Amino acid sequence: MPETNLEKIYDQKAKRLITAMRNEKPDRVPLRIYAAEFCAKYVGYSIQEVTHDLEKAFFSIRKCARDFKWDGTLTNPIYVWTGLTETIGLKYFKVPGIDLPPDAGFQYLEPEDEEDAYMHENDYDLLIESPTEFLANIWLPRVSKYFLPPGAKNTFSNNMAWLKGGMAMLHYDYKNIEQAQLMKEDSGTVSSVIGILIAPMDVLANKLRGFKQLCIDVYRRPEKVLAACKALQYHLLQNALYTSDPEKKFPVGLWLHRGNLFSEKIFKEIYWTTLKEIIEELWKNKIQTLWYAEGDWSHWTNYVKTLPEKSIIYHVDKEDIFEVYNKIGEKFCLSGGIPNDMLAFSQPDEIKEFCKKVIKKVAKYGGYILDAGGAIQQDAKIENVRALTEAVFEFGQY
Amino acid sequence: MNSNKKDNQGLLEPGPGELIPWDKKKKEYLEITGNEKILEKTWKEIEKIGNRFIWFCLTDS
Repeated sequence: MPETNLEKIYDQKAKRLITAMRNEKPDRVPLRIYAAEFCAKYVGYSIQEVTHDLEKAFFSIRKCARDFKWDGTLTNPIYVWTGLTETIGLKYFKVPGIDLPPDAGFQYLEPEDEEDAYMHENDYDLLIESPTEFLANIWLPRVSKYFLPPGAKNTFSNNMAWLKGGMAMLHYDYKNIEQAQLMKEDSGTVSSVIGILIAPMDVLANKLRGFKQLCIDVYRRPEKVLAACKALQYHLLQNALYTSDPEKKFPVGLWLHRGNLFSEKIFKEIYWTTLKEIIEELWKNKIQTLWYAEGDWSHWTNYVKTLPEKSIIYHVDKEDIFEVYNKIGEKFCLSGGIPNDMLAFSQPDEIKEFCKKVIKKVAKYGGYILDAGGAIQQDAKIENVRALTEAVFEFGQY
Repeated sequence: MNSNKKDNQGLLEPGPGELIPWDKKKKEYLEITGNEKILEKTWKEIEKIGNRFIWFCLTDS
């Protein structure tokens, strides 16, 4: 029966991924690809189509997963879905087909100065006192075209944005669960990250103060920054637990953004101390964290090394994966490390050769998952993505 | 880790997974004639979904 075969394939893929994530040796090196706008390019959709139309986004990744024989991937390749962002009128994205050409990826608008910031310098105490109320009463009305703050004259648009926003989130969650099942039924592919975590200080840098303002705050009011991160900590843990895998097989995704851009003092005293505790709490709950280190985090490897053994999967983006392996490979599973630049500009035989080198050195004793450094965008050549698959099947058997 | 909750009049101070904490909500009732736990369980279930929406906007979009 085809269903039985696919169930077996799914179980094999899941076991392969889980074994590697526990830093052990599976039957072969797992191929777990996080592809974004590349999926649209592969199936012939515009970026606009997959940003707005969830079904097309889902179909594009299912087709890639099947054709490229991925063991695991994300259910949705595209971070921005306008079913939600347009419903609540989010101001901080530029969207393909609205603000950008249909074939451009979405862009995030960083607040330029204090006036533009979605949280002002004198708002820290409000955030610290009650984070959820701050977000609902102050932050959301500032980032949305429709939400109104308490006390403002109410509008139909405000009421409908709250109603439809909540509905959109439930629809999105439901469709993602359905997509995980469809991936399983279609090609036995595993949804390999379940749940989300953002570092407290990244929340401040990304969505609240903005990076430029936060860089000033860490010198002018470091005690407020630390207190805000501590206030956010427990809520972000709850959010990660709530969205995590009930079976505790697959990790929560921690998408790291700005922590590698601060001095060691700031990193150690604020960023790291408030993030580490969340990862440790997740691990006490038997939940691994995918440490998706966007950019170069090599200068903080000694801090990461202090986390409990196997508590994270360390994903390598711009770092030298061989150096990372030498520093922490005995303690944690590694993933990624295949440069996105190569996928865009190299030739398939160069991709294969590099993958072979990574597999022979980093995956020698297991505990490695093959993937690109960052989410694969539309600049990647299709033949190079195909070469990733071929490399795993040619060189990745144990 | 501590939830860092303080008693602050004027704010509801919802904790993780909350919007209107049950302790505040139940003050609306003059009397609960049946089992309070039954009301509390359902209230908290929906609280978690509502709370998730606020944090979803922050972390997922």
